[in-house]
Amino acid sequence: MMLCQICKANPATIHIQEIANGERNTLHICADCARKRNISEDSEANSHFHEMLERLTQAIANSADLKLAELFEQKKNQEDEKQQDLACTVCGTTFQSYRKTGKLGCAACYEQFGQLIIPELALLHHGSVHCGKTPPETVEQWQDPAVSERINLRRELERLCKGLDESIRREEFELAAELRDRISAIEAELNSAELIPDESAPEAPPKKTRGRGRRKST
Amino acid sequence: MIFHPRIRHVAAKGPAFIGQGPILSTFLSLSRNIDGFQFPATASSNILESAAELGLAALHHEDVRGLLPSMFQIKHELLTVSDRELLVERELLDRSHTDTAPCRVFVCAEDGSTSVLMNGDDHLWLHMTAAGSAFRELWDRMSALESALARHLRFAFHPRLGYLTSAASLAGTGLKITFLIHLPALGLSGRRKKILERLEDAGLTAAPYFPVDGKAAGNLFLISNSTSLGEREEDLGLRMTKMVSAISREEERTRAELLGNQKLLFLNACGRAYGLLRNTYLIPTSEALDALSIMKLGADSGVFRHFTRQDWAELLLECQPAHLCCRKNMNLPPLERGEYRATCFRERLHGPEPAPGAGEPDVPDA
Repeated sequence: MMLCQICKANPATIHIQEIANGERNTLHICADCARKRNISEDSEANSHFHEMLERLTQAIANSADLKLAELFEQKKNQEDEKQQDLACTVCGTTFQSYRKTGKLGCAACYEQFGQLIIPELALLHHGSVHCGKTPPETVEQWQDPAVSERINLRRELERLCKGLDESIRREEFELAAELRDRISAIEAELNSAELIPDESAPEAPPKKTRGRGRRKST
Repeated sequence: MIFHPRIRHVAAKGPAFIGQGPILSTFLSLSRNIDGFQFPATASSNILESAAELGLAALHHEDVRGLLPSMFQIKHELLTVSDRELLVERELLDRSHTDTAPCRVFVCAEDGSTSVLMNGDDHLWLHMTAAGSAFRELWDRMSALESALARHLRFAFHPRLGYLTSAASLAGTGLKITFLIHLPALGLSGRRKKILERLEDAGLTAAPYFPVDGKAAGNLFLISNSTSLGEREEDLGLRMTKMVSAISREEERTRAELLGNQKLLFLNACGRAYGLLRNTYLIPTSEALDALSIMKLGADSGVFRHFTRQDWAELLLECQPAHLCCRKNMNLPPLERGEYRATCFRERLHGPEPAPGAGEPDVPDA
């Protein structure tokens, strides 16, 4: 039987192990000496158990964190690779350019990049759902005949210009000539009535010229 | 002619958008895009022209015109660099819109309180200014104008994300609220940085109005919202008004403390600023703004009898580069601007006459 290392009389019933700087120190003491030093069997056992549990938990957590971080990094790289190729089918804006500038090219970008953008917007803003003003149910936008006709003409012009480029590429010169004439006609029609007048300040009345006035060209 | 006649007319107006207390002005801007059209940055010139025509047709509609009396419109490309700079100084154009881009149209109310830019970052940028803390009044006007336009234009709208703007940071309401605030006393007490940093937690940003080497010349700051989704326009505006009012009260309390505890230092600073501006012969913008800031502090505290807050507001505008060029009606290089700025201060503050021979070319001896 092992004797208490303090009183060296009673049998040692409590064994305290301490590991410091990689060295293991063990103390074997009796119940009386332990009581004198405020060490109870339960508390010691508990503290050891808790300490062990804590270390174990920490070790598991560390390794789990590492694995999670690795997984997260892998996933992120895969996502980045996918995002690099992502481009809006309407305006051609790429997700990469949005990342750089924070700007989108058209309303369709919000739909097409939606899955990536909406979680970001939720973090960036006060929430992820609009709760302010909403548009009225009826809008008379398309009822102005002059404006809508010009808009239709411009859309036609865009279509014809694309067709012209394509026909030249395919060396279909007869078609290209036809498209060119139609483009010229539409451009002339659009230029004939400009709807954006420039309002400059009223000009001062022309100064009266002294002498004989304008010279006639000879 | 370096200034468009219409812009000269705007420049001749008084500083109606600059108020009297620490909160000098409120600015509201609302961004909208027309449904079915690509946003300006990616749109072709045909699309941009169509968007501008639609926008103008809506603005000229009878019920919209009633909300924008006496407005005028100018093609943006016809504005000179000086015109655009002057509009920025007048808070009618955003600095990001001073570059040349196709099919932009600038529309402005004669009184200089409202402006509209077509084909800036978005198809429509509606902007309003008012003196002091005036969110409620401005929002009522802005909302009425937007509602009138929305009867004739179908705006790009998403049921979840709200109004769609080119900058994702503006999606939702498309509204940007900005307060211009003057905080010299908090700056002197050393507490300003912490107070302004705390705004970030509330989704607001504080930026110098005149940034010079990272510092705010003239102790003037712009406090704006950095979020626009998930909060009603009125709620955001009232929340910001409360926060900005609390900062304003703190500024006033600090001013009273300064005047009570350090009166001599306070009077000395005011007197030196007055002396500098009254006697200067060459002064750069940042130095002028810093001195003007102390002058305003003095005017607010009743130190100066003959220098009113109205005088201050006029000088604040007049001393800026484009306003100086407009007053002189010629482009001035920085050195000549500094000289002319000093002349304006001396004239206004009844300082000494120009030194004999000043401004005259050196004539070599025969």
